[in-house]
Amino acid sequence: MPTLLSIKGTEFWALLPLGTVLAVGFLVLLIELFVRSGKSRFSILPIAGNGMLLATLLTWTFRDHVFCGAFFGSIDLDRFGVAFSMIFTVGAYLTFLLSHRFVTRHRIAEGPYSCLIIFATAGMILMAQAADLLTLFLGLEVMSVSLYILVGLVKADPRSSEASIKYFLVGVFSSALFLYGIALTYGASGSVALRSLGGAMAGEMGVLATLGMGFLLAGFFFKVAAAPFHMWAPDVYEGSPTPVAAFLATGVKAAAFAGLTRTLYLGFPGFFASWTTVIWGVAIATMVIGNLAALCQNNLKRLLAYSSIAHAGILLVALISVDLSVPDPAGAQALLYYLLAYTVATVGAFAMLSWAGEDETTLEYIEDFCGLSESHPVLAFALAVFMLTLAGIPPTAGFTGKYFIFSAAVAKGHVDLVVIGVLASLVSVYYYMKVVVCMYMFPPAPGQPFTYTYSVPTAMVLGLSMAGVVYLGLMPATCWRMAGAAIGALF
Amino acid sequence: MSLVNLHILSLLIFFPLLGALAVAFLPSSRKPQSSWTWGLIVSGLEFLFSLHLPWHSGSGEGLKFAERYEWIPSWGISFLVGIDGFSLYLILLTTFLVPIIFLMSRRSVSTSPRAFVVSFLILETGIVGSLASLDLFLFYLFWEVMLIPMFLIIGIWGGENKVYAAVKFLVYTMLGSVLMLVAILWLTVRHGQFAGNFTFALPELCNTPLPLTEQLWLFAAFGLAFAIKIPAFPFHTWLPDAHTEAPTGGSVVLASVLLKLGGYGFLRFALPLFPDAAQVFAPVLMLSGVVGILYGALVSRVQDDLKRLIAFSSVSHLGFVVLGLGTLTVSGLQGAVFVMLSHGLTTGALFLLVGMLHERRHTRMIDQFGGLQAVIPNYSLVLRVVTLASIGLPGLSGFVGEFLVLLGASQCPGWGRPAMCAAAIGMVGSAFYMLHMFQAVMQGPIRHPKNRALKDLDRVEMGVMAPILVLILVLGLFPNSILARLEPLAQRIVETVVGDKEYELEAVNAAGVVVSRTPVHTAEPVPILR
Amino acid sequence: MAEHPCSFLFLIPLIPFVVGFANGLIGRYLPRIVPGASACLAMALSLWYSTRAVFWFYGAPSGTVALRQDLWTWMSSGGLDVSFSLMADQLTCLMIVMISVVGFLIHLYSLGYMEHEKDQARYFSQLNLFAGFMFLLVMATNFPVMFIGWEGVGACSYLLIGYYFSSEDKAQAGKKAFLVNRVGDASFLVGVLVLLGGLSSAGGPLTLEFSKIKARIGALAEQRIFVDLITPSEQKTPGFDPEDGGRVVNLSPSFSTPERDAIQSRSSVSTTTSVLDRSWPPTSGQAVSRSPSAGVRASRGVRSSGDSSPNDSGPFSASIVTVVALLLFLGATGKSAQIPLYVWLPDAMAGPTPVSALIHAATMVTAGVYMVCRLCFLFTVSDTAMAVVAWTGALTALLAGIIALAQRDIKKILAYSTISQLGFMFLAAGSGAFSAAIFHVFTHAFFKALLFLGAGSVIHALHGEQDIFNMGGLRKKLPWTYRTFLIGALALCGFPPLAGFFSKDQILFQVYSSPRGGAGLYLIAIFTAILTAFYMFRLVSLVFWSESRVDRRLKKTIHEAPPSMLLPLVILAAGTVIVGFLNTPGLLYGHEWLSHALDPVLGESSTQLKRPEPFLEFGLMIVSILVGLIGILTAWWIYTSPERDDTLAEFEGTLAYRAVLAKFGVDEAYDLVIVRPLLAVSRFLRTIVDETVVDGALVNGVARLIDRVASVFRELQSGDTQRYLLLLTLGTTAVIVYLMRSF
Repeated sequence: MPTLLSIKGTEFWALLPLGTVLAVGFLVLLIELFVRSGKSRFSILPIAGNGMLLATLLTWTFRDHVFCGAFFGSIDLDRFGVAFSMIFTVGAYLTFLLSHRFVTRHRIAEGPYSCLIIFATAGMILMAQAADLLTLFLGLEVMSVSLYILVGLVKADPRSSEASIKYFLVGVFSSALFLYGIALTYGASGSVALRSLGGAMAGEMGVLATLGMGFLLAGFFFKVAAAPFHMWAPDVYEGSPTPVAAFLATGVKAAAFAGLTRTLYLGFPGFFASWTTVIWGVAIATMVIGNLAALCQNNLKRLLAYSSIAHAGILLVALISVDLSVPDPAGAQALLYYLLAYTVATVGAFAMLSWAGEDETTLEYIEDFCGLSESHPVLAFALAVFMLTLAGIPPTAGFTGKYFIFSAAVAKGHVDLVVIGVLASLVSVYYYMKVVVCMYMFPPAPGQPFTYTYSVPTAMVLGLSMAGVVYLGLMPATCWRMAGAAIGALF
Repeated sequence: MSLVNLHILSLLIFFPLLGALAVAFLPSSRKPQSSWTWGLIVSGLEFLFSLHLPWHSGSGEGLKFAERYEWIPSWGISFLVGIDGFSLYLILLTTFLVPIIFLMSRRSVSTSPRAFVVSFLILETGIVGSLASLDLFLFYLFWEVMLIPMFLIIGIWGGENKVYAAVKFLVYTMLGSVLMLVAILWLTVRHGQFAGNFTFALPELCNTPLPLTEQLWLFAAFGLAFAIKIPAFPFHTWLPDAHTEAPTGGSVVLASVLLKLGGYGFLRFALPLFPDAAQVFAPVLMLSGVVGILYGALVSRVQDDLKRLIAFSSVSHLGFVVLGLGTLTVSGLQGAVFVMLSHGLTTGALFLLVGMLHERRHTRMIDQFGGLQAVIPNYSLVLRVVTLASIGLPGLSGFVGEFLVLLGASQCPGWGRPAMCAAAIGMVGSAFYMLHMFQAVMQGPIRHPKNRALKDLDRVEMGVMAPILVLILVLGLFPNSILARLEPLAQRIVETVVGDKEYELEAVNAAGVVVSRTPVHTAEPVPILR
Repeated sequence: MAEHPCSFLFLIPLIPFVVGFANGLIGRYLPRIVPGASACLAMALSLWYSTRAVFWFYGAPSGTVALRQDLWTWMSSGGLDVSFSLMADQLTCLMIVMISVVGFLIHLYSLGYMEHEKDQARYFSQLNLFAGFMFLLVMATNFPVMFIGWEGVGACSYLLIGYYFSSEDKAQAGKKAFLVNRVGDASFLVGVLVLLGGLSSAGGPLTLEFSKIKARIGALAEQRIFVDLITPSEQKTPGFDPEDGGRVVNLSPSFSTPERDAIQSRSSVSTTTSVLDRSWPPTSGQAVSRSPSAGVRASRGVRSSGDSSPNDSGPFSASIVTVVALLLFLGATGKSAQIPLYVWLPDAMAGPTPVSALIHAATMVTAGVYMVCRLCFLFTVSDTAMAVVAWTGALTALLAGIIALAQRDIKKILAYSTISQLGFMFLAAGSGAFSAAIFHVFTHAFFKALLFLGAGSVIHALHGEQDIFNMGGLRKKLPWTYRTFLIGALALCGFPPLAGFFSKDQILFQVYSSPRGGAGLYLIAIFTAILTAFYMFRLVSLVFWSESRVDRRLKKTIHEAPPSMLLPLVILAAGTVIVGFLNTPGLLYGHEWLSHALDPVLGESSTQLKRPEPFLEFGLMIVSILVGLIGILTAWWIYTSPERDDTLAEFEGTLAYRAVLAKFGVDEAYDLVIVRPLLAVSRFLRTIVDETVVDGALVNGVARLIDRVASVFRELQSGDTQRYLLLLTLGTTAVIVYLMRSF
């Protein structure tokens, strides 16, 4: 009979990332409540952002203090968790850097905004570290609820509220599915702890367990925006404020994949064949639909939404290009690497969006970027590089990541997936290049010239993303090894 | 080996890139003129550096100037470069043409010359890199790096329909290359299963014992990429658009070098890697080559746009390359390479000349000209020589390659003889359209008053054309120094493909030293990626 | 049997090349006189070196078959080494002397003729380049080098025909000439390659050297003779079916016994050798004995020791020789304007008259004849080929002669007569009388050049008038032109003792008496001779004798040509009188010096010609003189007296006359059957196949398809949440159903 007393002090290492993030969150709340009342309206975003940075550094510093099965086997702080926690905190940090202009423009209350982002991050971390399905669900909900609010934060903009409502409705639906899946799995195995789950249903595939896995998969597919569960993504991205969209596109996707990976590899290794086939089909659908639907988009945000869908498809390919028995984690390793590359590039693209246009005008249509190469060559070049990365053209990060994934997939005999994948990314080249074509080959639109409001943090984001893209593209060895170390925890 | 010999290739590959960065970021190159100057300096130096290759590469066969650095060891990806006769001359052609292109473009290109120079230098890096790399990953990398600058060159400085042409070029070419990527991955994985080590180095990958069906698929994937690049019929339709819309410099580099990489790819990768499949596909190549020769000739005869005409003439000439590759004979392969070189010179010169005309008259429509020979005698003299060379007049460069290809075809059993006869008819075809072009543009009465005021070649233009003409003549009269260097390589390929010997490409160890190797293959597959 | 090195041969073609290039590049900036003068000087130098080569050759140690100079290895590929080397044997010596003499004179003539042209440099440079290529053609030791000259002269002729480029149809004529020639050239090249293929499949060493090929094929010929003589019963076996040109000698009773013995002995020698070092009988044994991969590699041109040693020449099928000979001959018909490729030569008259004289009468057009004679060892192996050559020549001679009857343009008449005379040469070659053919080439070069230059001076005097019906009575006005022209005309009609008489008479006699010739060919030839005499003197009477029809305004200005033009006329006239005596038949107490001189080159193939039978030969001589006279007199009788004009007029109404005047519409037929369909096909390929199908339907079609599908997905993405939820449910159901399928 476990009691609170049986918790050893070392177990608290497992809370390091989560605790730091939450601490920063509460700190921000307190400042908002007491210090920042009345006259002194200093900006609170730097505090939050640097807090996230601090969390990242701490996590990195103490990355060796791994502890599995803490708190009655509900939290694993393994290399996997560490890696993902760092991705989340970095993502949150970048989001804060992007947020400054948006917050000032729309007069958003900085405190709540920062807290929501931080709590969402906390939820993500919980998802990446969850050792049992309930913790996973907890993290999922914390993340989702904060995001529902964040999406609808701009009350002036009806699209924002609409997006929020949609996201909420579809979200709760999928959460219900998820919960149902947990229940069924519990019924089948009598446990919610992932590792014991795997042990309990090692051999036979019972009806209940299969059902449960199916519902869990459906829930995850919704979160990663895989077709046909992707419909919400474009509207939500378009409606939600740019920094939040960036956060959605990077953090949420990463968190969902973290959860999915943990669940499948730890919880359902015995069902490898069956979930592989399911994901095989979903991956094809996602890659094809995501890329094709993106073809006729003129709104850059929507375009990025579809591109995030398409990339989800490729990540799904990576997810099943593993061999749990050998074990051969190449695919999952590639998945981690690709997530990193994708995050960097996407954040960069959103950074461009977030400072395009002056205080009232928002430029988010591709035509708005016509002739950018002449007026602002540097910006044009930056955006072009991000587009090339997303299109997966060497020598950028996108190509290296795609290469790792496809290589692993071929090694696992998924040549069909790879062929579809490369053809799909060929299609993607077309729509990413539409942006480049506009910037480089068309004269500026006569009506509104391209304008942007310069802000140091955004510039930092741009710089960081550029550096990341080039680094990941040309010198992948280090990060590849780290990804290996991280994924090794699950094998 | 001296220090220079050890690093000359990396120098050649990355010097243009550094130059591009310099031009891009140096404040001094804000004025358009200075960026041209920079471009000329960089490309000129590059050309001088490249002259080091023929001097020190000796006469023997095999790899020269090999370098190898581990890059992503866990994936067996290494920076492995080295050249032999196949790549040497194409590299020289590239480095020779880029300064010329800058010289010619500085007067025609007005919008953002800086970007122009930068893209061309990056393009040069891509070309030289893909010609030098012996690591499939590296090759694919540079292969793709070539695309974007060319895409920009067509799309930014192109004609009225530039965007369509640029996007068509990009997507069509990538269609081939992405499938080639899949094939590369498949090949490496299979090699890993056979040999136990996971590598992209060509020397190790050769002689991977693949069953025929697999070879067929892989050869098809590689072949598609290269056939689109060459371009072999029926994958040629991106070429006329790209050529027509591209600026003069773009057309020149496209016709002279980029297309050649297709043929080079066959020689370097497709044939040695998949010999059995190559033997199966050879008749297809020959058919495509012959059809391309005749088809290109006929279609180019009825074009109204000079550049389009020359573009289709390229289709016809490169048909000879494809045919030569398909014959799988020593002479055929040698001839294919030589046709590539000669076509690089003649067609490059033709595009330069058309560009000069376009500068003066701002049109390329054939019916806008006529009788120019009276107005611009020097121009017509140069055009005359280039035309005859491109027709394949013996004594000029065009003939040697075509003759060798025909010779190869005549030695190739099976469909060789008919193919040879058809290709010989193609020789008539080349005269058919080229003479028509010359007559329509240069001869007859002067129809348009504007043409009376045309200026003849000035010093710069003559200075640009002179070396090309000299090279055309020299290649035509003394081809043997090149052929002799190509023969052992071609022989090696033929013996691999036809005489089923193992393809011995010298391995290069980590120190960049060429070591002859004996391929070892464990019989049963072993799991990769430990 | 050796080849004697000679260090200055390369100068003969090189000097004109260098001067030509120089004039082409910078001539325009030099004073007017320099290009012409330098060009003439270059030709003079070539002439000097040619003569020197001749003396060198005859001074060479006995047993020398040729002078030779190896310059460099041109191409070396897949077991084939093509060396860039020059040679001079008897035949070549004759040709280079002829080329340089006539060429020099015509350059000289051009000085006067072209003095009013403003772009002299281009003219002279191209003329020089032509001379250089012509030298290269006749001095080549192997096919590829010969092909350089072969195509080079074609290109120069194209350039010179289009010299007056600013008139559309002259440029057109040049293009036509090049294209028609190119057809022949392609066939020539294919022939060479097929020959090479034959050699390689025979397992012997790959070579394109004339001498080596001669050895190989000579061996073949001897084997054939051997077979025929020893085992006549095998004559009917398919392998030696006369149709595939299996046999060199048809054992017709016309063979005298000593001949047979000669062959017997020769072949027996060859058999002994063949027994020793050549695996005989030629079965495919050795081909089998070689390992297949080695065989493949050999056929793929991979060098490796073992499977190509010089002294194993395996089975070399004679049918290949036939094919090769026919292909090469098609090439010759292109260069030398025979059926079916003669159509370019009349149009080629668009060029300046000296060009017509040099290229389209004296030298280039005889390249085909030269080639056939140079390869006589190859042609004689195949009866089929020889017959084709002979009959093509005869028919061409006849056709051209007929067409020449009705032409009005003075140069066109001469052009058709050239075609006709070339026909004679091929007729001679085809009937095995190679030396006669070469002899006619030589004499024809003189008198036809003379005629053209004479016509040139007439045209020059009449300021470009070319219609003979607008001339007349120029005998007084242009005395020197008239005299020289008359000599040329008489020579062409074969009037003794002018050069034409000897050569033509020899041809006619050989054609009649040779086993390959025969009565049919002879009759055609003799009839053509009548035609020749007739149209030549129709021309002479209309231009010089009958009273003047020249238009008033021109009359005053008619003047004799300047000395620089007259001198060549006179010299050529003298040559026309002399050169015939190079080969005076034994009947006329001559020694047939030329034939004997050429015997080492052409000999072993001319041996099969019949021994001269004095009575027959004399009779034929008389006949040919008579027919010449008949033609001359009729022409004179019809065309000199004005009162026959009306009868002529009504004759000109007849269909036959109009058909002839229209050259039987051959050009139109070619245009209709070949050119137009080709252009139509090209347009079809461009618009339908390329732009509509390949690019439109396939390439852009795929893009459009993808776009269509994409828009479908976009439709799906309507804003309403119900649909999203619905799809979500459907997706979930699908996943569940799939997972549960096994239960």
